[in-house]
Amino acid sequence: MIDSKNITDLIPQRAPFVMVDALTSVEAHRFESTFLIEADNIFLSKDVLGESALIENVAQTSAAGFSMVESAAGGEPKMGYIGSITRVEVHSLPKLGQTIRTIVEPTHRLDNIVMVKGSSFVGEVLLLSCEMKIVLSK
Amino acid sequence: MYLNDEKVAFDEVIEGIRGFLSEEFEVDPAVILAENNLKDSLDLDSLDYVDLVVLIEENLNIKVTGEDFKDIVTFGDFFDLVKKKLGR
Repeated sequence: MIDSKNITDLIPQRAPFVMVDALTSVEAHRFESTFLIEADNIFLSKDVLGESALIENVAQTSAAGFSMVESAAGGEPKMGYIGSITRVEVHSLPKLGQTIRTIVEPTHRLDNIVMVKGSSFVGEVLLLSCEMKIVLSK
Repeated sequence: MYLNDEKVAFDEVIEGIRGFLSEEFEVDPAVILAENNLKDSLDLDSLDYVDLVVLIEENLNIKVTGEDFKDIVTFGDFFDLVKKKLGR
C-alpha cells in the first residue's frame, strides 16, 4: 500500500489539490485508492464534496496507479495527465468525514495514451462513474 | 466464386466501417474513400486515435496497436490493415 506520505511521489499535484490518500491495490488492469474527506478540503461546500473533486480523485488514482505499474516494471515513474473526460455520471456526492473508495480500470492503450473507466464509492454507494483518457509523460 | 464471395463479404465490412466512423467522427460517409487521408478526413488528434482503437475493437472484434497505425495514411491502408487482422 502507498500511503499519503508517498503518494506525491506518484502524482504531480500538491496540497491542497491532492485528492488521494492511499493506493490500496495496484494491478496492471485495476487500481484502487482511498480518500478521507477532511474539513480543510478546498472542494467542500456546506460539508459536501463537489463533483470536480471526484473527477480529480479518479484522475489522480489513475496517475498514481500507472506510475506504480511503470516503477514495478523497472521503468521510470511516469506522470499522468487528463487528456479528456467523457461519460461522466454523478449519482451522489459524499460528505465531510466520509472515505471515498475509487476503482480505475484501464481498458485500452495506444502508446502513451490510456483510456480508463473510473468509479468512486462510499461504502457500496456509487458516487461517480466516468471514462478518461490519461496521457502518460514519455 | 470463392474469391467473389470474399470480396462481397469484405465490401460489407467496409460499409460497416464507413458507418461507424462517420457516426463517431461526425463526417459524411462519402469522404471515407480508399484514396482519402484518414487523419485529415476524420480530423483526428492523438486522443481520437484511442477512440478509433475502441471502435475497431467493439465493432470488428480485432485489436490494433500504435505500431499498426505507423504506416496508415489513407483509408485504403486502414481497410488493408483490417483485412489483414481479419485474416481475409
